[in-house]
Amino acid sequence: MMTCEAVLELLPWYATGKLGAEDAAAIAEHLRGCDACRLELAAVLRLRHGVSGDEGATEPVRERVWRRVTVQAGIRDIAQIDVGSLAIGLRLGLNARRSTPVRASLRVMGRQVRIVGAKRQGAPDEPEEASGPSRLHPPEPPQTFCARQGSRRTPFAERSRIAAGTSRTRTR
Amino acid sequence: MRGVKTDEALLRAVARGDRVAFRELYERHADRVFRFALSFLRAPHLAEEVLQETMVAVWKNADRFKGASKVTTWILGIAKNQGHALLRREVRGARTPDDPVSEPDPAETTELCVRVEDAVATLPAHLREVLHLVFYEEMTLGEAAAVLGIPEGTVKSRMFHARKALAKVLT
Repeated sequence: MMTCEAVLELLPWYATGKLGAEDAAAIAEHLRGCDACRLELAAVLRLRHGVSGDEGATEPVRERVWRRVTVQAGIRDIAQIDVGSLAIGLRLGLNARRSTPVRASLRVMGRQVRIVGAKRQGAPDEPEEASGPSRLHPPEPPQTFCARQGSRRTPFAERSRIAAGTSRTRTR
Repeated sequence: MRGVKTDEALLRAVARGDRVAFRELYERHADRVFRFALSFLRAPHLAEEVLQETMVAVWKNADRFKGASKVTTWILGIAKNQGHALLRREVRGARTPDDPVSEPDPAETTELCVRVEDAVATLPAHLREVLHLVFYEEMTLGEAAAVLGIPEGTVKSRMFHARKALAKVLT
């Protein structure tokens, strides 16, 4: 039969139903005859109920971070220039990738044909949302890399600012 | 109709550069990563930073995932490393949070939750993250150990110490 010490160690996982059948059965058997461990289980269940009160990542937070992720990962261009008309034109993009920081594509009747900056092998065509800012969520200015305005400079913020520095001049 | 892709399938697609799959993977795990980071950083803007760095790392290293663990475990492991690196920078005084940590609104939660949250906030970061993984993510002992990169025995002892400390605060 399990000792109280062994039971107490495993109670959190017993409370969440994450123990193997054998351990769970042994603990259930122990609990039937041990008032002290039953009280501990009640305390663990109260604790479990109380943990998780933090607000999660709301949609605005997820969107904000997603835009930063796509720029930092080099998925989204940090600066973009379009020339030509809707029927035919040229798009030049600058991104944060080290290998191919420049992308160029030809637009013919609304279809983008990449001519510089190859995508990874097997990658599908990028959706409009991923290739450029959506109408619903225009890009943020570079200073949004700082988590909050007025914050002190950080190594991370510095890196991000360097990566996005050119977008000060022209950001779509 | 196409079925729902598994995390593993999405990650394989991400490794090939599939941005649509990356967005889907992001949507599935953003909240989880954010909450986990918040559990030990206690500051939403830092949790955002961890989420950002974690997902960039996922994009860059998706091809390194070998399937030895769940995708969730792998991603939270990255988040733990990013979050701890951020904590170390904070400790060195490289930066300070701009705003005080937002307090939960007592009107929106039960009294018990508020008391427990307050008590949990007094714990050290390494105990808070264990509590979060076990009680919120409902991870097994092995999964929590894998995310944190520590032996299972250490997870158990941290959990035990967290409960002991909380019992003191809550009584």
